[in-house]
Amino acid sequence: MKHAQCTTEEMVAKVDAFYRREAQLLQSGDFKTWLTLLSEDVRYKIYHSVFVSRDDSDDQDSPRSYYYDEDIASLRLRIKKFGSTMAWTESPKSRRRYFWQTLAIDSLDDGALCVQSNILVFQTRGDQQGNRFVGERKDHLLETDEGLKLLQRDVDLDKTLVTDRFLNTLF
Amino acid sequence: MERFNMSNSAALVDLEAGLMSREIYVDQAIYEEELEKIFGKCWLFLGLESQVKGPTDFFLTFMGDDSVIVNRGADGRIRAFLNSCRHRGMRLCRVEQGKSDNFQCPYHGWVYNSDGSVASAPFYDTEDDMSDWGLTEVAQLDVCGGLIFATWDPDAPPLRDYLGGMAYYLDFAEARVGDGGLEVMGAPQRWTIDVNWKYPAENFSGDGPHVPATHASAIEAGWRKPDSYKTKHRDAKRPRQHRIFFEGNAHTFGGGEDPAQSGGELLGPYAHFIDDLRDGLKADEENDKWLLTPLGVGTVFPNLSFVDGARFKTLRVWHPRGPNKIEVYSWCVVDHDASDEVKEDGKRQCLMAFGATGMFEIDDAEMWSETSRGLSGFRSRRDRPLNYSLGLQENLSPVSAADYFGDEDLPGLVSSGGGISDDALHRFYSEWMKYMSI
Repeated sequence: MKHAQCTTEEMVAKVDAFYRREAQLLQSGDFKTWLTLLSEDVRYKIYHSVFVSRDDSDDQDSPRSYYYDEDIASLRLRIKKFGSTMAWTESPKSRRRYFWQTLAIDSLDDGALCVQSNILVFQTRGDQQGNRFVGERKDHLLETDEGLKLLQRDVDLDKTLVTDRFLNTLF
Repeated sequence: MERFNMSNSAALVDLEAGLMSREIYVDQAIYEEELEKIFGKCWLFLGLESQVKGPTDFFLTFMGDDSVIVNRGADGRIRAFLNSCRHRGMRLCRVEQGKSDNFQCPYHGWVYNSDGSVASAPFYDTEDDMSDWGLTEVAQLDVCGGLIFATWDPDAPPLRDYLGGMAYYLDFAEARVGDGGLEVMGAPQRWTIDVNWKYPAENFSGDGPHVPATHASAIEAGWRKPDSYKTKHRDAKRPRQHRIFFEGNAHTFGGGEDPAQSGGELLGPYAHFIDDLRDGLKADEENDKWLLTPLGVGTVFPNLSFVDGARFKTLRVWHPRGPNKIEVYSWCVVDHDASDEVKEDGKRQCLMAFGATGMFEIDDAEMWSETSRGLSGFRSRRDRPLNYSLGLQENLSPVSAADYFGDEDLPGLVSSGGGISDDALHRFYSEWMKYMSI
């Protein structure tokens, strides 16, 4: 349940600092440290909608095609795999650029913040054609002794067809 | 490039020596022959029966590179049509799935009933006979094991004959829990890989040797147990493995004591569910039929592959998009009668390992993409043939599946190659040659 939109300058600055730090970690490929921004109870879902008729797409139960549906343990395993010297998709490394635009910050009953953003991520790797991911992100961020942590992430990507071999980008 | 035909086929494929021309993976003319002779003649997988549960349900898919509408008509019958208005060719259905008792073309307003016949065509007299203007329907369509297949070839043998012994195992997999059959978790994932369709199809047919190299990082991370591929000779301590194939077709799958994707970290309810199914089979039957659940990894010729494993079940089609490109459709499939907890776990495990983000699939896609690039240059495509000779010198004397598993109803043969030979790939190309040489 949401309260009124949260606009305290301090909280807006904290949210912005959280995302700036996260972008730096994801761009530099420091996924192990990125994991420390996530709550141990995190639920992390990346998906896109299936393109259906306009009437059907207004339906809450409109079908989804998932790319990730993770908790902290599964993310740890994926990141462990990425770190292997035999992770062939990670050499050559991808270069990624993360852009976002915060649209709304609301306080939730449980004390978390619900932050809605547009996201835009560019991925380039070797001489592959590259990927451009655009979508909508809805996060629940929780204030802890160690600062804000990600409790829940839902990213709905606009692209319906992933091109260029595979999707090895985290959002 | 001269058109591929019987007279030059010997130069392209030499199964006796285990040599394959590089051209067959990159040549445009061969690809176009395949569209006619393979994708125009074989039975192709469309989707699961559960995707069209009720009358007027429909979804889009491809047969080769043709967009196809699959629906369950108002009369309850499943059909498949070329997704192209008969009037001026516009793609009739522009959404991936839905429910509709008719299909309307917005260009000139033609409307088709769910059985493909013309319901109305503006400006045409009601006396005009529109019976010849219905949607182009596939020549044959049928269901086996909860899977919908269709073919454009009216002279193709019936589906169950085409599948041969594979039909038994598809039925067996569908009925492993109860009568509820199979269902899809979420919509299929779709993504493209720049590779010839035959590479993934042959890979899933039985390219065991790629696992320890390609998937080293996923194994190292702890997702699955390392296979004992230390030596190419049979190792008595290695868990039992089998590959099943059939005379007269190239459909095949392989499994064993350690089901695909078994062992390792993050096992969940689905893995326990598979263990329970196996225990049940062990208790009920005094034979080794329990080794057949789950089925394992395989390909139904030409381009349907699957991983039916310890953690999840995925079906995938490698749709051709030119000699150097595919569009993959990947379904996560669960047993309808399994618990919600098992289904949810199956979905999440499937996403971890396969699909556009799957830890196994991304390394496969990297290999295949770079293989395609490695074969594409002027000199590389004409270079010495590729090596498909692993295990050819061994005596791969097959035994009947009936004897191997101890049940006389079981069709097919079991190869004693133990997963470390190219024999399954040979059967794939032998079948390919059969279709292409006609």
